[in-house]
Amino acid sequence: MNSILVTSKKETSKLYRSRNGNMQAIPVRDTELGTPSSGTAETDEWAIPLIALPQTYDEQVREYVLTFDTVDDATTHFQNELYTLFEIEPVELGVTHPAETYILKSLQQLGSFVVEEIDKIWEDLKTKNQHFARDLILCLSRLDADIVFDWAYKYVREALQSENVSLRDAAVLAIENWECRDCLSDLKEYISSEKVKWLANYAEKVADDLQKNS
Amino acid sequence: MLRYLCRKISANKWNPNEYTGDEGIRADVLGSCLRTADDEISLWACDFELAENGNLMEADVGQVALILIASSERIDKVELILIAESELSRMEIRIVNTPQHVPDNLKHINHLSERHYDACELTVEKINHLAHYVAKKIRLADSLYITFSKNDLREIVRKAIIDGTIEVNNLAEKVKAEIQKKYPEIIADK
Repeated sequence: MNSILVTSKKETSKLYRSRNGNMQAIPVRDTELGTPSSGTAETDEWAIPLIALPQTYDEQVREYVLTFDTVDDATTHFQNELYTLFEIEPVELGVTHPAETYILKSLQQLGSFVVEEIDKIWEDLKTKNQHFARDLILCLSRLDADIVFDWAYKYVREALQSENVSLRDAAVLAIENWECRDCLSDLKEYISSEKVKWLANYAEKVADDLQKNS
Repeated sequence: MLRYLCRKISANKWNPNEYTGDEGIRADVLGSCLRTADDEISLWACDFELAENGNLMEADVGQVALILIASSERIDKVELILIAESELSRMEIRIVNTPQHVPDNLKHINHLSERHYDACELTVEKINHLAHYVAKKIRLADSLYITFSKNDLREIVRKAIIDGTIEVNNLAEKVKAEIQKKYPEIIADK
């Protein structure tokens, strides 16, 4: 059973994930803590090393142990942190974005917890804030396909069907970034229905590149 | 030889939507693709030949893409809009060659800095003309709107490394890593 170590000023708890997927916070004594911020190496306890917002734009990031008691708090924090990063600066082509590192580090430390959170975030964003939805797809597309493709490609497929041009553009860009030859049939089907000419041309170019490189 | 001035843009910001109507343009482009500073915007020059049939023959627009990648943190598609020098004159937009305004992270490709221009003394009216020109070219997918895919860009960078136009160690880490992954022999040789 995996656990996530969390601390608060009031108490420290471990979050346990049971086999049915639910999580539960159980308070622990100080003596059980060890070193909270490096729990992954020697134990099966996972400290939550979410990244504090950079104090400046110099991409200096630092890790800290979060202060919350429940899974709901953890969820809220992860969401808030991600949304804040998107609010501070939109994702631009050619420029790395702090949310890439944030998602990657969170995934490395928390695995499926973060995947589930991103799933909820996508469901929320795809209708309510398509600008952030685009940013999320772009950030995920910049991570190694081995890490994200299996669970993130469904967002790309949905984005290809979106009425929002920016989302469709981001979806094509994700396929290009992942160099995903298995996506060719989805991409070709999409191209045949794309009405925006510049975007259809770009998608065709990506499909050609994928075929050439295969 | 025809001189064109290029501007990096994001086409998705230029698409009409439910509140712009078919002809309208989103205000967001003013803060991104056409963002001014001191009433100026940066442009990069490239030259085209005119073929006998009247078509433009692509000459060195790839050099502009190279400049942009050399100053990027990662390789993502590059979209350029090309504006003929004569078109800028028609809009009464004055351009000045300003190699001295090339950003610091591009100083290592000095010989390309001569291509840098500023469109100066811009007014809201002139930006409006320019915005309508850009919107039209993108929406028609005109040949003066050019997209370089990731694959195109890697190839341009590869050639530039081989012919010595750019020094691999001056590239951003992620750009270098992508080139290394695709063409390991290039980095090994350098």
